[in-house]
Amino acid sequence: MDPDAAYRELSGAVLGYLRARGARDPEDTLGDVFLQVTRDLPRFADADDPVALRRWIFTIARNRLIDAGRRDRRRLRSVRVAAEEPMSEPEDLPDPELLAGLAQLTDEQREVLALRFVADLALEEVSRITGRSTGAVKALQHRALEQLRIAVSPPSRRAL
Amino acid sequence: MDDDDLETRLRDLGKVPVEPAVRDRHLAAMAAARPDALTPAGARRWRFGWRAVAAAGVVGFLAGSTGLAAAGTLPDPAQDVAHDVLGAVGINVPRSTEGCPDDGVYRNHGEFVAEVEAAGGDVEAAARSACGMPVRSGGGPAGRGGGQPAGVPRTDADGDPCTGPPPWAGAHLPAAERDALQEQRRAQCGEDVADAGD
Repeated sequence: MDPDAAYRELSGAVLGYLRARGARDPEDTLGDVFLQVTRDLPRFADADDPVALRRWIFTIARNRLIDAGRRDRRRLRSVRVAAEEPMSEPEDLPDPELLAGLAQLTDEQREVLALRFVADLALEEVSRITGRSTGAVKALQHRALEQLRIAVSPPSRRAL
Repeated sequence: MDDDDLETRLRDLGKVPVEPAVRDRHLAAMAAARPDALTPAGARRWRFGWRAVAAAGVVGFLAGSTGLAAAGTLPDPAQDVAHDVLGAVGINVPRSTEGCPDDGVYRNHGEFVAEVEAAGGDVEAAARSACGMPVRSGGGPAGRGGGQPAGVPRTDADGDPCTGPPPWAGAHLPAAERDALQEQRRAQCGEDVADAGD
């Protein structure tokens, strides 16, 4: 598969994954992810295996987020006010209520839900990407869905 | 809200297409970042790494040297070194042609003498010749007595016939021939020098 075809097939899922993970600038990060895909795809041995290709691309996206997280922490250490940096406007985002609910989860819970459902990866693939056992991924997923359900329920229903 | 609804909403989050303007920007950047787009036309990147190029160079040099040695066209000292080195690994290349009649090529001095003997020629003269003897850099044929034919007035590295070993040194010559050479040297170089080497 060539990089353009990979972009056409997976860019929506990668963008959704980045939004679900709370990326500061998901569209720019999406561009960075596929630039790396373009550069490295000729050396990727399993380019013809759709499952392996999908796992590889989401691994790149995950690593980009980790790098961005490190940069953000350095920025905070250098006394820059993160709140001043422009964020995507809430009305631009799909399902803002769900994204707000995801923002209340731990990073590990958000990661598992984003990889399992937004990226549509099997438990085993999530296990390989995150380096956790499938049992651990399953448990995290269960707790994350429970937390998310509480977070997105209207306050009146939460009391029930 | 149950978990199925949440899963559906999460899956839908991954189905939202990228805005066309953003997509076009990304695809243009990707096209510019392709490895073949980064290389100017007519200046393709190396297909092989430096190790392969170095190995090919060494192999080419060895093959070329072996070919020249097999053809006997290397300079005499190099030809003899090639004969010794390649002979050790089973590749037969000739010795140098220095000292051989008509630049004939022989594996060694013995082969030359045997051939002269077989042809009914002057075996003694052939035995005294340097043909087939290894040539060493910086001098004449190496070997017993310097490899030079016995009885031939020799010159030292400085070209002076009166310095260095006398012509009879190391050679088993008949007494008459030895006396004649000593007389010749005495006349040429004086009494003291002629007596040296006895």
